[in-house]
Amino acid sequence: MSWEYIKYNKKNNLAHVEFDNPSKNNSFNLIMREEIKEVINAISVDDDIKVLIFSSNSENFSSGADLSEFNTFPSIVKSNQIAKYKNLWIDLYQFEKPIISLTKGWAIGSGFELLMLSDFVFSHTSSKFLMPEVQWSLIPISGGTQTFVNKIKNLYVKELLLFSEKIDVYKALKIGLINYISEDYSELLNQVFKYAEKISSIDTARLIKIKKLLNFSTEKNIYFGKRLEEIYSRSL
Amino acid sequence: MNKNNFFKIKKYKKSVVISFSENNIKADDIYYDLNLLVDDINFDDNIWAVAFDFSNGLNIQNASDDKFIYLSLTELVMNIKKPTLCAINGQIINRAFEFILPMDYRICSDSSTFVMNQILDLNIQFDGATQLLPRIIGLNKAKEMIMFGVSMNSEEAVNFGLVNLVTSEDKLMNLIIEKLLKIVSLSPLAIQYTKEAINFGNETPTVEGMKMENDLSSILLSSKDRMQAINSFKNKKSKKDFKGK
Repeated sequence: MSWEYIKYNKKNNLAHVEFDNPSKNNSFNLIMREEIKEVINAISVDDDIKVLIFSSNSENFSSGADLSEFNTFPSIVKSNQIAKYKNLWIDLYQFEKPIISLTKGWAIGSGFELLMLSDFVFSHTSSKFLMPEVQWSLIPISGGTQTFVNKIKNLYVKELLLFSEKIDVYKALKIGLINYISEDYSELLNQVFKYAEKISSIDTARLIKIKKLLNFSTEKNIYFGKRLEEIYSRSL
Repeated sequence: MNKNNFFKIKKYKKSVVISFSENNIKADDIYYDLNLLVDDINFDDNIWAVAFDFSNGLNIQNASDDKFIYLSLTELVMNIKKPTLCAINGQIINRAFEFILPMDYRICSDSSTFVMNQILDLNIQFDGATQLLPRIIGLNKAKEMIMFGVSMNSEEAVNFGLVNLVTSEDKLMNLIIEKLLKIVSLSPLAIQYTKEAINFGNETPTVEGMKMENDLSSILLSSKDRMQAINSFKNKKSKKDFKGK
């Protein structure tokens, strides 16, 4: 099956989604979001697949939402319904298998927020990160106001989202936004696949449960999380 | 803007810088003035951001009258809808320490120190420290500070995410004004809504927060600033002149 804005490869236990919209720096237009949604829905029920990898096959990871589609909504109510109930980002947050993202160049807005929905982020040293929304009188719509705080300290979240200043790969690594950096992209890609293969040697049921538990640790109800931990460990 | 006895208020472009007229104040003395001031800030469309100037230090004592002791200053600061910045200098202790915790952006001088020693006075914090500090610096470090009265210097403060930046005392105010001007150059409505969504998200399950983010984004769809900003993007103009409408 072929897609317009993404390339999809399945190799062994790994699913690899490459963003392929280079003329628009991989901005997520409506069709591209639908394509990703379709693919991840298929992956989530594909028992062969244990790990999902996102990367870009051009210079930048993603420049975020496609602003040329903005202000073309039929009505505010309709737009709100689509945003809320056909929400790719909520699907990604709830995606049960591990997600690894590999970045280079810019990761802007939704492109940056996608990294917060990933479990591991490997970044080439050319990577740069920016939340530009407040410059355009927008707010993040891919979960950024909710998911950044799960990964980094509150004060940095506000610095990134309210002041809209770009950060480089070294600061991103220091404050805990990303996991690994390297100057050599192909070496990094190899590392990602090695890492993914290592994870995929773990039993899928266990992987899914441990990811859910770790995400629950950020859900503000520690007693519920603890109880679930007990139930899950008993059921293994 | 109401007249206050305890605050000095300087207006900067689309923002205000607030300092206390005395360095040593009682919580009950400033409570009512601060309450009015927060209302003024929230309802004044020409104020897009607020900076608190504690460059001469800050010392807040508990109310002497038991009747007023639980008046919460941090709740008042938490009610400010616009972004709050502060410049900190000197030893920040107990109530003053609690007072700075709900603010969105903090810069301190390199000689600043932070300490909570209520526990040594056979007391516990009652103005939000036990809830706010762990959310900011992490549970372990917060327990160390709150349960053992361990102090923190400026270098640790930046490493633990208690402050965003450390600078020398003489550069402190210039830096906070620079940040203030930066934030008022951006869309004020988007900033208020982003702040609201982040704060809400701290207290709610992620998926519910994501839906709330969508709702706030939809409200913004009708704003003139957004229409204008998107049009200027489509026409490849970089200059955006936000009105807050």
